[in-house]
Amino acid sequence: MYGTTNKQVAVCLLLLLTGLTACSDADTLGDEPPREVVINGAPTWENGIGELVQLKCGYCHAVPRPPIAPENIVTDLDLNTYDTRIVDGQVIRGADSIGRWIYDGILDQAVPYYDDTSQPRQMPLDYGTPLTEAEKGLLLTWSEAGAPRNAAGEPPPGDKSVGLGLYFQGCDGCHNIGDGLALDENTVFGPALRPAAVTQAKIKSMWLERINPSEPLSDDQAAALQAYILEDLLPNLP
Amino acid sequence: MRWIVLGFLLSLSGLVGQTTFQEQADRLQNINAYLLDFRPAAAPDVVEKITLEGAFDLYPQPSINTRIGAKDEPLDPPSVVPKLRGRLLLPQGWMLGGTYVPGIEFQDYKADYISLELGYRVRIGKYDAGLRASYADGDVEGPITENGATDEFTFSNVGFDLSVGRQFGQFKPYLFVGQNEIETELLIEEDGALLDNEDDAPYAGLGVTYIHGSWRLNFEQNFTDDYLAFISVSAGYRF
Repeated sequence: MYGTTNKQVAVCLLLLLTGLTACSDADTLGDEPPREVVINGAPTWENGIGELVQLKCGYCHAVPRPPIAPENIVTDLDLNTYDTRIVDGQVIRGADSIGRWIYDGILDQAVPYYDDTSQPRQMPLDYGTPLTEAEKGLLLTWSEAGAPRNAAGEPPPGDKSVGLGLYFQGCDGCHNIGDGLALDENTVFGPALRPAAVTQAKIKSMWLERINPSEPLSDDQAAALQAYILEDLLPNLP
Repeated sequence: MRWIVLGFLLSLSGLVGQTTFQEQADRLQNINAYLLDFRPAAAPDVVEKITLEGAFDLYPQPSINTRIGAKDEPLDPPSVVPKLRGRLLLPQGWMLGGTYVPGIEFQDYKADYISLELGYRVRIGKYDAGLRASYADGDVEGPITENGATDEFTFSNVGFDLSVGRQFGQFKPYLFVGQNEIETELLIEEDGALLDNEDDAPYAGLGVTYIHGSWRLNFEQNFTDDYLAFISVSAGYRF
């Protein structure tokens, strides 16, 4: 009799324990804030922006297109590297090409401005890892500074006379109409040249992307073109 | 010095909670797959003759925060998932069970589900112990990421668990521990994006079976890793 009572007490305790521990909960991480990249000093690709862009953009903007990326994503943009380059005969734009998009506000709204292979949407997409306000500020600062690779500064300017020839060979066809030629509301050729963005890296990138991928510019040619644009062309625009 | 240490600890604690969209998407897939896992849902039992058991299981679903990035996914699962389960128990200790649910439609979703289990039970003194392998496979089609879209979530789960129970009169409390491995895929119709995921996680639980003649009533509490807890209640009949 005594043993039976003990068993009943044990069962009651187990049932009580089971009832007390009954719970239903799922921690989905939905309430967690986004991971934030903090940068000390001037933001450059090598000082924080590379880490930030790879973390918040590079999981989709990679070559070849990752399965996680939308099907209609641009297929020539790899934000896991800085340099625009040629891979298997195709120009693959790097992060040196995105300064203008940031400058034009793609972090806040769609920027249907330049001719491209897809209709650009606000970045990151709503389900992507959000940028914090501090990160947006860093990206804008980086863009305004010409999206530099590092703090080393630009190499010395080159020969302006060589640059003059290259400019009329490759650039003047688009960049000769003030703020550019609007073909329609979504397509503008030749937006105004922004002095801070006229870097030798950017010049080489644009040459590959838009002018002549079969004949990349050398470092000397990029320096010459930069010297002509910054020292002769832009100061003398009406 | 202590302020430096405190600042370091605070900075670490700030980092712990930060997350990325991939981590959120993987976690959501994990949770939705583990919620459809085939858990014991009954105390281990050793029978003396060939026994067939039919049971109706109910799995109340926990509230799920579907936020990914800056977007709340419109995923709207049912508040309770029902399963019809069958088990064949052999006197030698072997057990074979399964559920099959073809083409359930709820709200704007359509789901297919199958699960199988194979186990071996042994009596050790006053205790019954069971070793069990389970497999669950299914897919859910519907507006997971956009209203009106037909996204597709597929999952396959493999699990192994060990359970121990002891009968006290009409009650048989039990405990179990196990390990799950899952593979999931989410195909998003609007963007054509494919989110695939693999995960493994320990699980454990406790429950109690109430025995009344041929009837079995069961309550079970499940824990998966450190982020998911859910319960199941079952009513079964033995033939």
